[in-house]
Amino acid sequence: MSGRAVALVGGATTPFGVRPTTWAEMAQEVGAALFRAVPELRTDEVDSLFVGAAEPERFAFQSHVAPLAAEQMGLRPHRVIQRTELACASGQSAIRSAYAAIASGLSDVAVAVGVEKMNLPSMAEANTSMGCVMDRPWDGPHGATAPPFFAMVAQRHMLEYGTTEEQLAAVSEKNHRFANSNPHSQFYSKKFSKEKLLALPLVAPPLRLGDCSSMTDGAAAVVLASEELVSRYTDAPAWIRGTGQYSDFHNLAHAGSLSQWPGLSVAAREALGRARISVGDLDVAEIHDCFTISEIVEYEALGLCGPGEGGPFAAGMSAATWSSTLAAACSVAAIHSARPGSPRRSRSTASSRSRSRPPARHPTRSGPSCTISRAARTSTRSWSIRPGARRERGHQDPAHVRHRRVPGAPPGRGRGTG
Amino acid sequence: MPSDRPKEKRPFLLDFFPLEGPEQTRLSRFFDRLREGRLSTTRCSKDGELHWPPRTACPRCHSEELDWVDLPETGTIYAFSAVLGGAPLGLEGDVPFSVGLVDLDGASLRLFGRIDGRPWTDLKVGGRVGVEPYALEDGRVFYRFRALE
Repeated sequence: MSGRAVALVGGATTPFGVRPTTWAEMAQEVGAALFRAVPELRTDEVDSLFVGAAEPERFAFQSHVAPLAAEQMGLRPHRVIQRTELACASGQSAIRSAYAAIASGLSDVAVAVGVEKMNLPSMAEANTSMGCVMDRPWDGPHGATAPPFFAMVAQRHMLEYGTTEEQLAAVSEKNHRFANSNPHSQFYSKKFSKEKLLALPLVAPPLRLGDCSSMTDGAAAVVLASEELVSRYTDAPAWIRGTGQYSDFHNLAHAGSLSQWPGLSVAAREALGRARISVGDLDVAEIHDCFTISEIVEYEALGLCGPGEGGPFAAGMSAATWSSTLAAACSVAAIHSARPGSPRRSRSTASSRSRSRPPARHPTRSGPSCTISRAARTSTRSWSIRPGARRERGHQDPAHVRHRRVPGAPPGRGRGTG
Repeated sequence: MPSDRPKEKRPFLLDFFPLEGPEQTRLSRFFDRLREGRLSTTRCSKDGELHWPPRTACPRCHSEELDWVDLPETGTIYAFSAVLGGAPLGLEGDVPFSVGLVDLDGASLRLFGRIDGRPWTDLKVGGRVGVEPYALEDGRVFYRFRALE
């Protein structure tokens, strides 16, 4: 990609769930966690802040949240400060905007933070707010919210490709199982077998309670830095190699077939093209799963399997186990550990390319290394990527989430030490 | 024209139904025509593009010279689901209710809407529906679909 190379150099999350805390308090909480996780980062080095927030006006009765978040996090951004709002993609968009600002030279060190407070005293009020994501005056009066929309996607996918309720449950079972290894996830201590998921009540047929992500409160933040400054914060950055985005429709009348999401295919091709890799090069994909059916349709749109094969692919993924841990790609950003020709190619990936294998393209083939994990809501926590991480069963080992400086790495500057 | 909701007037920011008067929208003719029992939309007089929802400028050629045209009164269900819980304010009393995407007969439009008249368990993809305008108690109007079979 043109412009300066940009990397994620650290990050943190709060716990997620039904939390007795406010939007602003969670901004403070994630700010504190972020600076603990990246001890070399000083507040005055953060020149820009991007705040992903979907509907704080509705859910927290608060607009103008970018300056609010800056103040809560103890930041005084002096290059760029802005909010990004794209429903489920709000936080992802904040990361992408931070990337763009740094690549262009406008920013050198930026924080991207996402904060959502969704649980309200009145569930009907919360659902009213969710309805505003739709084309409110045209789709809203009919009772359009996310569950019936994704239910129609599931219905068409089942009708056209034979996708089953069991395959939907396989997505949920896998993601809940992964959540059981993340203490910050909403359902960390709750076990969901496929049988249990299939017995849960219907919310919007054919989707059951376990097919729908829950209302949640939580926050996550990452630090991005330009190539010149990356070594100040970590010796094992996650370089952003490619990114893509596409807007398909808003009013439901323009949703197309429902069963295929061609816009996501366009975005994926762009992200992979910019990264100069193919989908077969990926070791890990973190895929958005607001509803189980979306993960299945996204498999197909991303090219992880063929059109209509998402259901069987989901069943195959459900049977997979953790086999590698280095974040590689997601629906919007394909991230890899070095850009071609970069002198700062990290030790971990200089050798990883030769070890990597394409993901299984068919569920009956035993693919060694394609692990699809739950989206940011449940899979993130305080982390920094360090050499050798991909060789470990990292998500089961609390030690890997600690920021650790590797002996011999370039010296970083401690916060407040000047 | 049946009138069954909303029972109470809510603040604008908690009310999904649009403000429809000429002092609030340039699309008030949509609601005038709906009050006459006609579901209609705009068509670009320059490039012939049929719009949904009705517009004030054509998204294709950006002409602002648009004509009002009536839409077909029947269609077939392309996809549907039902809201069995978690309804927004004002619709909680309607639960369970069905919604769906409907291909209008003879028009290249697929409209989203409530589908009343049958429980969701009786609906099917390909089922026939009719357009049904209805009145709100405060005098505003909107539309929904009604299962015909």
